Amino acid sequence: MKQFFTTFFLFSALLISAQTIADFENFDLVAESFLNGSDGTESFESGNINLFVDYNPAWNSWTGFAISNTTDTGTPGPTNQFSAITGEGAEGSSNYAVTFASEPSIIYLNDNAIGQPIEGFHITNSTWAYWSMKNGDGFAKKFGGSTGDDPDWFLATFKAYRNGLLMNDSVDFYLADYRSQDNADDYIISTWEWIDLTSLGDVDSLQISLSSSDTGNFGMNTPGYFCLDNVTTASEPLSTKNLNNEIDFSIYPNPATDFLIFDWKEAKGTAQIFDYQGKNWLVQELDNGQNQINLEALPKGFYTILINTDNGFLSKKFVKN
Amino acid sequence: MKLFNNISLFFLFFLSISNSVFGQVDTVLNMAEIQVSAHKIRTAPIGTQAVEWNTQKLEQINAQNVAELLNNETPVFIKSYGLGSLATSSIRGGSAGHTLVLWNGLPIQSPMLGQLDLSLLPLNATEEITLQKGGNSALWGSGAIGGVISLQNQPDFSNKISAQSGTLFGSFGTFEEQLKLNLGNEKLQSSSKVFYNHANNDFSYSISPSLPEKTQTNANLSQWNYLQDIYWKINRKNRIDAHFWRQYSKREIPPLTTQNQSLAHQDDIATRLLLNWQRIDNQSVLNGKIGFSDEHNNYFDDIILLEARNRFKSLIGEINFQKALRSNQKIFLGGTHSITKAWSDGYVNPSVENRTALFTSYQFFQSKFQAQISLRQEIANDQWVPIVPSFGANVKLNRHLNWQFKVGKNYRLPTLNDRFWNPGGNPDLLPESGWSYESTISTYFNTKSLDFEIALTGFNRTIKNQILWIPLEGESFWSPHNISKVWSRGLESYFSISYQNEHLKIALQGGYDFIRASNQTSLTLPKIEKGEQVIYTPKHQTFGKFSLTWKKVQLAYRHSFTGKTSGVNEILTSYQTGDIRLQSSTKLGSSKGSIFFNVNNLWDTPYFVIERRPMAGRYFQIGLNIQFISK
Repeated sequence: MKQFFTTFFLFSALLISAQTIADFENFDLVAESFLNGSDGTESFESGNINLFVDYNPAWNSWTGFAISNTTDTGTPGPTNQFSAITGEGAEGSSNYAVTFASEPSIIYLNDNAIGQPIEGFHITNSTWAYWSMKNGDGFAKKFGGSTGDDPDWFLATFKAYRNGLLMNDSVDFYLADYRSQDNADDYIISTWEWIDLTSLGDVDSLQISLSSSDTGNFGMNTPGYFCLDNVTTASEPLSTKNLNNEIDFSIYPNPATDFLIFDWKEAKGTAQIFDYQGKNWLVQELDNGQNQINLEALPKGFYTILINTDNGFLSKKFVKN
Repeated sequence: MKLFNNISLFFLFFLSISNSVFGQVDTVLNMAEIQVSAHKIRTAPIGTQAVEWNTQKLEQINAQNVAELLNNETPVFIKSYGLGSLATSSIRGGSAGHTLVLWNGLPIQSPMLGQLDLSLLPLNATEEITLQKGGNSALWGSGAIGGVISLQNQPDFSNKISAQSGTLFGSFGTFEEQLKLNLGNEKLQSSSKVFYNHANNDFSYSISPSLPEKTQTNANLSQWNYLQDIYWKINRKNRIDAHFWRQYSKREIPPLTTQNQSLAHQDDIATRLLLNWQRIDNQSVLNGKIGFSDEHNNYFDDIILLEARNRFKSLIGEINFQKALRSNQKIFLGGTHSITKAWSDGYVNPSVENRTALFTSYQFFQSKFQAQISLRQEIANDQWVPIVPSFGANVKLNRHLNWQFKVGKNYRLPTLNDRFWNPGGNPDLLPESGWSYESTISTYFNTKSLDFEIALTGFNRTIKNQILWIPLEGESFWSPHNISKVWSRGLESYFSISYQNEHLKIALQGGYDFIRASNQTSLTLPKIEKGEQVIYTPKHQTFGKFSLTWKKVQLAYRHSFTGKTSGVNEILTSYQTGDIRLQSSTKLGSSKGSIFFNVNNLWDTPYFVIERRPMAGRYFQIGLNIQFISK
């Protein structure tokens, strides 16, 4: 028996040491602030994941992910779109991530975690979505509707990309669920809850989509936000350093047609190309010097090239015509 | 980002108690009348169905504002968000932006939204209201696709002094007071009007028979209007009018039925100035006008800490000339230029818009045949809008049978919000445009005591490049694009019969409208299927009104049916409502007075015009009007 426990603890220690947690505490945020790409940042790396944000300075709008430590749990509406209903990160931490995912958003895994399981993460509602579902607003209904009996729900669905393909298996998490016959069982998530994603198996990147029973001709009325923290992957991180500002890296032509060319003067690296839905279209080891990536197999559209090195990562967006 | 729709036209005439369709046309064709009214060629062009209400008619109608007037006295579909709330029109399947609203000939709808809240227009602000149904862009320009609502102030040079007071009390804390003072002589007249109304609008409504009634909250309304009109007959030929209209409205926005609470409120503040000069010669009328508007629309939501402030200033000038050619022709020429500047929390910078237009019209008329052809060319922000023509004809088939026809191209320019809203605004939008056709066959006969009238109109209209806000792939916001096409067609029928003797008048009017307004494009977002009915457009609408007048006492009952419509999220069921009004008037010397009692929604019907916006059940109004007149 003693031998069994020794073996168990050794095995557990190995498992623990193999976990990497993206807790977003590596971002140095002042109190009650957020990062949404308005400072030029295109992605946020923590642990073994990359969260991309697409900020449009002309419109002052963003989509994808933001990092926040705002604590306002009482103000609904778009003026408070970066707050979690918990008022803090998971397990009392400060920082957490917010996603605007009315269109599917993607959690990208870094090179060392690609192809391995995501164990899970903490999830909760944004303040805006919580109060919108609780009380209704000028656009979205209160859950339960005017009678209180409507079987409403707000659902986050997670699917894995593996080898460039979106897998059929999914994990569902109800951020609110009013489907029970007994209205006393209706709930809207207001605490950090752990969601186990190991059933998805090996993952290259994770697609997150939101859906709601409150959907009309203009799409989903429920605010398409939720918050996440402590994204736990099964491997050590390669590096968390964003090298975009340190390495002079340019790609051409952009827009591209059949190929993409760039000079690579750094140490060994790996290039990955993702589309806007997070599908990983190719992985290519980089040579020192000029590299050419064949794009013929890619449909027209918007893409991100992500390069991982031993010292960190960098990324560029491009268009294929 | 909202779509709408509409209803029919014939009613309009008849519901207005007297003027018939042909009475309007005949007025247009009367040369003497043309010389004193330069606008008939525009406000009642040949081939167009038009109805007109003057002050005397308006005093007998159960309505306090233009939205209620159109809702109660015509089959125009009014998209009312509830008692005291936003109300816009939808005519023949058009959107709110497809109805042009004019004040003394100048457009007054918001250039930012392209529409006007008709509940903000009190009936006592004007002496004459005209509704033209159908497209009329050739004469009136952008927005005149579904119809044109025209408010006109008119002088009374009868050298009298009159003071008028109107007071109304009603359910839900409703109080209205209007004062009007006319002073002057045969050369100079002043008309001052003050209007105030307040309502709590805390009516009860029921969501479901199994649930307790709820009371509407956050629905207070306060409105002030001050109008000053000065009319100066400089000499036999020349007259100058000056008009000032200050409007202040403060409204709370009640919660939806799917919302626990609302603390939203909205302020609308408008200042309008108009200077009008008219020179009338024997065979011609020359008219020049310049108008200025400064309007604020501020929206606050104290729950979500939202403040949205919007403002525009607009300067518009117009000159037009009308001349009779021989005894059976006349020609009309005009030009207009406007400059608009708008500020909004939703704009990066103030937006500026310039529009210039030239227009002309030619009428030919004989006793049995009249025709009118019109043409307009507009330049908006240095972009040429395609030339817009129209042609209308009226044929008197025999003594009792009349046929009218009209064809024309119509357009609506993109609004400032469409072009400049941040995010999404698209400065490269094209105007919405399309052709409309309509034809009316009608018969009318009367004897000494009996009047009978029946009319049937068919119309067909296509609007291309209709602007819709959609989300583009890869974008996190919605933006407007010229991607929609809507085909509207329908039938509008009307009948009226009345009997009258020395002391008694019995009148019965009724009608049925069928409107099919279908989307001709399919979209994913917003979800639109090709062929489906445009939202908030009932296919079927019927209307009937019975009135009994004995000497100075009138009893009138109106009943209407509105077919089911679809909203953004829900299907809205059909509904029937009825209103009853009892009015008695008296005269003492040169002064007169009247008292009235209205029961609205007599059958206490629970219904929704807009999804999640409950309408009031049965409610009451009592009012007293007094007018003192002295030489």
